[in-house]
Amino acid sequence: MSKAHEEGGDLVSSERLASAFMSLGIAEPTDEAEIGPEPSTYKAALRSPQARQWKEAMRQEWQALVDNHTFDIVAKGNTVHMPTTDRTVEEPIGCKWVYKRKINPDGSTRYKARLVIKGYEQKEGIDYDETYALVSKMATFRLILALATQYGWDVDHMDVVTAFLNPQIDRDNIYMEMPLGIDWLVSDSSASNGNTSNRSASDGSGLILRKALYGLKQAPRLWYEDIDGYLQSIGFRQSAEDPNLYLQQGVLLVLYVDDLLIVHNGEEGHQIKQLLQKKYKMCDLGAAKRFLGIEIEKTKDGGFTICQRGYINTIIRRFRLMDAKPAKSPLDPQTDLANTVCEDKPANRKEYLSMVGSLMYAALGSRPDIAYSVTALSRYNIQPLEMHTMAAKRVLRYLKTTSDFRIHYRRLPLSSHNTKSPLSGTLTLTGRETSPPGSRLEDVCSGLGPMAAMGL
Amino acid sequence: MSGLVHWQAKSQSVVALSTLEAEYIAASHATRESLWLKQMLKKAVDGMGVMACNRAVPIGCDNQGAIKLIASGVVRQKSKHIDVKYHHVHDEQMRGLVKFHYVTSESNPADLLTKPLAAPCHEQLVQLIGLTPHHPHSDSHTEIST
Repeated sequence: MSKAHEEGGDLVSSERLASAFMSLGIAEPTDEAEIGPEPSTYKAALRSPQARQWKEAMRQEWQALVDNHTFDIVAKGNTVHMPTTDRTVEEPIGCKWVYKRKINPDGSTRYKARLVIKGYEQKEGIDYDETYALVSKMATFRLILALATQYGWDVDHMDVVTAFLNPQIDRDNIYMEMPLGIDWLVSDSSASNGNTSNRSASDGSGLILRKALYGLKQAPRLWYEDIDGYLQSIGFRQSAEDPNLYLQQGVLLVLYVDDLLIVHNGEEGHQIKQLLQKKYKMCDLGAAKRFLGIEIEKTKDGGFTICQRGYINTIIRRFRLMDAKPAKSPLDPQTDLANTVCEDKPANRKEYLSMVGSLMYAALGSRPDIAYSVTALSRYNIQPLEMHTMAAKRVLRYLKTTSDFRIHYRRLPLSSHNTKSPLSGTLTLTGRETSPPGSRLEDVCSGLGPMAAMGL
Repeated sequence: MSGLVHWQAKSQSVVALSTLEAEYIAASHATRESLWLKQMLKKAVDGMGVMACNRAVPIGCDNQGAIKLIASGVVRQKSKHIDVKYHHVHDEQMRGLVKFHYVTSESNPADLLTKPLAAPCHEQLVQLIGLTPHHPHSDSHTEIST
């Protein structure tokens, strides 16, 4: 927090920021003003003051891809097979470097470079077919967390390192252009491990993909199929209720792309972790603290709370509402969003959609109190007006005011008739539903809101 | 109550002709969601050495007419047009999978999900569903009874 003073000594805001971040308990985000934005292109990376770090990051990424056997280098004019398909090394799919700075837990900055394929250049039917990949429902995650609270199971978090690079590719004719910087990348990597594939890169050769790569249209699906197959092979059964919930004796596993929530009761959990690590390069993050942007905290009474404080702060910054007035409720009941009589300027649709989308994630994760607002706002996604943007901003201000709101999962006393075993108990759900009739046309299809709370 | 695990705010896709019908359709939706959760819960605890209970899922509803219709399954003049598919709610209640009970409109937490509320009312319901600003040290908050 040193730079605020240099910028003309705006002490108030610097203090406010400091306290905000302290209350957040999370690392302060990198200050863009100080070390510059993340470069968006290869050229910009090499021009930036951190060119050395970015170059090193690219070198690491390249080495990881080579070690992983993600692709082979092929010379142009050397298309040996696939005379029938359109995709050849002469018309490769483009690729680009993506740069990201990350903060380590110890506060230092990590430079990451990732080589991504330009998936949008892929043609359906030629380069890919299916792209859909399942993800787990938020309710599943919360139900499992509530159960773990009740029975005192461990809730661990693991993630798969560069998950999408694991699966084999589903076709053998996906050619990609050489990435920028290939000259020094190839000579560096072959010098370091004595690789003989020291083909001069500038001679117009390309890459043929052997495994999935980030950006590839089918990568999420290939990855899902890969890990799904492996989980089933090590004894997990897929739940019919949510295909991303995997079950086996003593272990519950919630899969969300490359994040795994592993709920277990000791021994079995460790075995599963070992089996997973045998197949994939994984990061064992221990007790889950943050899953899908939802912060999980243990409470004194042995329960958990979930909240999205960090996420909310991020979106407040994204929409530049750091200094906005607080709001005590998400929507003003006096405001008629459907009022088309008054003349209103059309809003910036892109920004509006982005706001509604950002709110949606909070509504789905831990904030039922804004669920209705998000539904109401998304009715105007097609043609938002200024007033709808104002309403969306109010929901954001409400979130900012209440960013600390959390759902608390408590351990309930086991009922008396069920005390035979410490692990026996019963759970029930409470649902609530209502749907008020409306006078306006849009309300005729009235709102619906079942809620479920776990109880004993 | 332990903690909220599932919620949904959604416009109904069919036009309801009366409050009763709207509530009835909502009841059907709530029933399906509870059965989904119940089944998942049962599967989840099965392999963990815990017995899941088979008690009916209590569901609150603020419309007496709908509750009666669910309990009786008897269709009258005002409800005879309701699509047959929604009558599964009656069957599920008969089979003991769900149990509908009355809540007053004033204390229906699901109002949070169906309309914009003024700040005091909003705050009250937020507390009722157990959404709290920081770790409460005790269970002093209003509980949703089961």
